[in-house]
Amino acid sequence: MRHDFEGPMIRVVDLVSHYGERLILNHVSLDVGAGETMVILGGSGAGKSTLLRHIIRLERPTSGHVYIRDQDACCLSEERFNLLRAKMGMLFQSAALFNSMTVEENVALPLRELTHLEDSTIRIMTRMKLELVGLGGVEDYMPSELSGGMKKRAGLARALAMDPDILLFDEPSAGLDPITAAGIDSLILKLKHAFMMTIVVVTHEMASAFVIADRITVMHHGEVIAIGTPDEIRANPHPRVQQFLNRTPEIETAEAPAYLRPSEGRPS
Amino acid sequence: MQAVSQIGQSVIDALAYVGELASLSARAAGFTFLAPFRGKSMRLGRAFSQAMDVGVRALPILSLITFFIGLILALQSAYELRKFGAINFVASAVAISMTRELGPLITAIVIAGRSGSAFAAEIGTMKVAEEIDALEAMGLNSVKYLVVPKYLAMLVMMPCLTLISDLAGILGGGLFEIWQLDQSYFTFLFATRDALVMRDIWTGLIKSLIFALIITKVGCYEGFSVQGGAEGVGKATTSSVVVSIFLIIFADVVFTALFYYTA
Repeated sequence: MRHDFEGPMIRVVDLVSHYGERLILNHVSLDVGAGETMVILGGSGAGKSTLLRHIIRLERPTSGHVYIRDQDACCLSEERFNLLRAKMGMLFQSAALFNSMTVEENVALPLRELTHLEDSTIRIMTRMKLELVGLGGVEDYMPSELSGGMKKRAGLARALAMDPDILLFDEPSAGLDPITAAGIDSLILKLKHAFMMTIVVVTHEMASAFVIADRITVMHHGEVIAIGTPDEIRANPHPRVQQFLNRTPEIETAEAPAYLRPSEGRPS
Repeated sequence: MQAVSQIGQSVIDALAYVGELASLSARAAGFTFLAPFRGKSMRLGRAFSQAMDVGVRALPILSLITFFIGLILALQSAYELRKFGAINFVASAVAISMTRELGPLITAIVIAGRSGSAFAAEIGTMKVAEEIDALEAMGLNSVKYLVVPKYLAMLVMMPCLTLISDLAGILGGGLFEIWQLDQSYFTFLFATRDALVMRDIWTGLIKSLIFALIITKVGCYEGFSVQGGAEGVGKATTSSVVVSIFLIIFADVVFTALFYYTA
């Protein structure tokens, strides 16, 4: 695959993000090369989903930069960035299908709105994408009639509609049974090998991470604590990484964090 | 002292609200009126289906309500005019107050309750279900995709609905006059025609356009500002109706005064 730019497909540099007063991402830096599958691992509240939302600019950073194909996402106009977004696909945790439309209309929406293709062409492309994710024959169903796994697949078909070269997954296997989750994993592998896509997957499923990843980033409390190949991560001595790998529970601290403690001694 | 600062704070909040409304409508107006001149295609399909929803499907309930309003107006004005032996003026009283004031106002209030709340609920639910994020992630502008068709539909349908309300109200008044006052159908029709001037109708229509803008922007803004889950959607729906009815009445005062002093 040839590109008209040098450097990595996605580059996150020194990203700081706040949610109100709360610090979510603390100087996060990350590169994802073309055709690479990067898995971002971390516990709940580690900021991994927020990082994903920054990559597709659903959030604005406090400071720092996100470069997509060497273009600074923070400085592009909305129209220019939407051109980049058309070549990016995102699968949301809840699949985020439009509930008022059928599966087929959902998948066809980006094609209808962003291209000038004939309606018949759009129908064929929609069917192809749905076949690709193993959902042939459910075109006319409403999202509410689908199971969780089918919703994820339909969401993936929609993310693939514009033939993106960057795919972002937010917790693809969350809320799915192990068999369905493994099915989604093999779908990700298929996309990676067949289309050479650059893929970023946010997950806390260890098993799935080690199956699909070229490299793994481990996050904790908004900071990147380890980046490396699956083998390097397994060998990483960082206590948090080992705790995550070995599924060790948090050691009960006697002192509750300040924000959890009820304010004492204040006259009521 | 604290009371003063609280008043100040709520005034600032109210001004900020109006400012954000204005910025949302400026963006929507840009997409509606400027984009076609920059060679961007406009998809009118969604605007048509919105127009069906806010306009055509509101017709039965709206014409029934304004018919009754016209009837009430005739009864109430007859009660007073009778004392002066001026009962023949009922027709003109109904015609003028329907076209200048009650036609646009009742239409706006019904549509605010019917469609403004629906806008807030639709956009709010989409926001809660990550559907707005999904739109943005696809590279579609959510304001352009969701708000612009609603603006177009409302700006076209509100004046039409207002005209029909005017008509239904006048007919409601006419019913009273024909049956109760033993006027002939033609006496009523000519009295109405003589009472009305074009100005009565177009000032009402200008108001209806202003009300259309208010209902759409309040409904959409409340939808986009939903926080949290289903409860947030409920709150946004309620406040879209309350706020838009308040702003409608306020705008009505301003424009009625304007039309009065420029007559």
